[in-house]
Amino acid sequence: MSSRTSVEDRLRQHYRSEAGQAGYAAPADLWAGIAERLGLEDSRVPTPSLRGSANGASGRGAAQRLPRARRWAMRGVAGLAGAAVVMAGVNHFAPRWVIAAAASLHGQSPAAEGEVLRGDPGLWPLFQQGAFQPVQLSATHGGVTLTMLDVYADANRTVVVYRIDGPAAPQGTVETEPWQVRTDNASASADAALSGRQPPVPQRYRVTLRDPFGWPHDATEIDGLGNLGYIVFPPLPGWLRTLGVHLTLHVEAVGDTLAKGDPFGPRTFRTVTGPWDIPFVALPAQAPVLALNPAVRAADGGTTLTLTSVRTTASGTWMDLSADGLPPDTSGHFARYRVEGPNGDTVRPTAVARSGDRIAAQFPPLTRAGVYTLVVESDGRVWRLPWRQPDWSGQQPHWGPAPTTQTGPLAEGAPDADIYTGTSLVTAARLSGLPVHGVPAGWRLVQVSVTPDFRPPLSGDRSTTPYAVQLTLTNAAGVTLTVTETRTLWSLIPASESLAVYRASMARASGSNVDGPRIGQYEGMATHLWVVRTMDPAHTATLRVPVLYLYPSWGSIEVAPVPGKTQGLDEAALERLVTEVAQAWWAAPVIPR
Amino acid sequence: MAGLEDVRGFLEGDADAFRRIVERESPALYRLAVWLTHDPAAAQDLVQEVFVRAWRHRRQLRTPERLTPWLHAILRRAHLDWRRRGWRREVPIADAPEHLERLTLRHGRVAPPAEDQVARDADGAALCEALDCLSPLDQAILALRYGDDLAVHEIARRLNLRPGAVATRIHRSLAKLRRHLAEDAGTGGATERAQRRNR
Repeated sequence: MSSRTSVEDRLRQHYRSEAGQAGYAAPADLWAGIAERLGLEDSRVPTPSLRGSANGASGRGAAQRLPRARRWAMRGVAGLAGAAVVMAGVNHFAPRWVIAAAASLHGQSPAAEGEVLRGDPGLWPLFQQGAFQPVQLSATHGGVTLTMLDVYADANRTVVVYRIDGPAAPQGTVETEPWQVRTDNASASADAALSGRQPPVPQRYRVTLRDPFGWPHDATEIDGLGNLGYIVFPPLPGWLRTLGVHLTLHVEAVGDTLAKGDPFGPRTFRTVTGPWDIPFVALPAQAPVLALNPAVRAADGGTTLTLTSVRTTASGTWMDLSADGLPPDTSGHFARYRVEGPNGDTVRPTAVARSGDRIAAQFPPLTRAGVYTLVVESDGRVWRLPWRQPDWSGQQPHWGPAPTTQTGPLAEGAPDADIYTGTSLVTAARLSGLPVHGVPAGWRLVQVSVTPDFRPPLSGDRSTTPYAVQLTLTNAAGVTLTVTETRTLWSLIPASESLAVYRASMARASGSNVDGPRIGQYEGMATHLWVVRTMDPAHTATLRVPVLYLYPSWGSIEVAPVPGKTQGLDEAALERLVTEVAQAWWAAPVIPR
Repeated sequence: MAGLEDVRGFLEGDADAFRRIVERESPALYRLAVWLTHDPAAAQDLVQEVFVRAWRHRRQLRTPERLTPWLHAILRRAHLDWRRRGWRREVPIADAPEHLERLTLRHGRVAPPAEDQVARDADGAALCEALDCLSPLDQAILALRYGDDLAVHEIARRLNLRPGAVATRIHRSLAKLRRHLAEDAGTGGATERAQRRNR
């Protein structure tokens, strides 16, 4: 109680003291200051409302005359409306600020979904590091479900990973091509033309990504393995990538290919039209871009190439070239391209496109500092276009741990498509789930690799492992060949064509590089023997190489010599060799997993 | 409290009525402003601001009988603005002497202090610091309660609060002050700070 009294007393003393110092009365000039600020000279001043009435009732004056409750109600409604507009605008144009937590979802996609990206040396490491944003949104039309799995965006491209789940093949048919995004009905037209049927009316189907302003951006590339695939769109503007963006994936048609009776029987193209529209919010990870404009030129044979821009992101390096003096009849892919890096390494492009005198080349990301040289070769002409690149590794995004592979080192730029490369048949059998046989007597195992193969398995059972296993074997003479097995249909016949249609097309062609197949039987399996005309690696001679296929009930086995490693054996000797190896391979015991 | 006739005149724009209201209401408002700001000059500015706002927005006063609480509400808002603008912290160099003068007024000392004066200054400084830890509303309540010796229900009327809320706030504020002052006494911080300021 004493402390309470003490505090209260101290307060009274304190307040009394302050008031005493300041004076209990208000300063004498208080009114003067107020009157001066308000301009109160006259004894009577019209009120704002009266002034408003006299001057014709301004809006403010009219508002002040409204009852207080109504004014507050109006303010409340206006405030809510304004807040709603602001929230809608922010949500639509800057969803990153609204759904910031979604950014934490990066890198949680099932690893299997990323297998489709293995062929892209820029995207695959990014997927492994968790740079892709899981989406997992679906749309269904006509019994076909299109699921958008992941999205990635940087200054070079916007990539959407998808999966299509459609009805199984009807009884009596085999699905030879999986459900995939269709951009036209050209396959059906070609098949109809080759088989003598009336081709359908040509039809194009659009695949677009609609931005928040409603503008559609057409896909530039569609790739995939089986019913998994990815679609590449042009890059989004930088500010949209920063804010996050509402996008809509628009797919107009999907389809698969069926074979009637056996895998080489007549084809049927099932096409289901949608559209499938999947709105989603893309929250791209922050991905820096190194944009250079080298403007370096090189001339040869009357043609001048100019390297106008080099744009590097984590997913790849995009180069733009212009060509002056190119003859009008120059074929689309008139040249070969490569980049020589600072350490003397060579990088091959992942894609090259040409439109008139503009050429765009895509390479794996070139992120080291130093001098690079783009080398373009065509018909003995060489253009060398060097540029210097700064060190910007510190700006590279770090989404997660560096990708690890079970493979040995591969040449830079080569797509790391294998999930395993080594010499362990046990590992290959375990990873693939396939019946891997032992090495035939007289042959030595050089390498075994496991590669994704997402095409439809011939058994129709989609739960089976989507992998192919390839062994590279060599004998004492140095002859080298490969044995490849998979659950899917491997053949020189395109999956979209029946054997009859393929033969018809070869018969109509003026010259074909493929002869066959010679159909046979071995141990109850159908066999196809083809002869392929090819060039030796030095491009100095034409080779005729036999390729043998065996079709057990669960899939395909291919036995093929490696061009350049045939040690001068003729076609007949090679045919005996592949046949003997195929039989010995089949007879060898299966490796336990 | 101002007469209702003056309030009605004020609402009609009668400057004379307004001047009479200023004369009647300003002492209490000024005292409260001093207790809130610890600065007579700032308090004068605040009170002037209160009446300027009151005149400009007089149509918002719907009930003439509630003029005093309305003015106190304006004072509280003006005080909040004053705190937000950091008037006490922004001291232009040209105003420095005046600011120093305000500081001396705040601590009740102009001449070099005697030893007992230092102790009183230390006590006042500790209390000021403790009061600064309270919310502006709690500071106003304590000032009206212990400065003007107003009853709880009168404080509630002026500040447009329920009496129970005022009593609760007084109780909690006193507890906070006791805690703060006890801690400060334990460390001797306020005395040392006051002595440093007085050197």
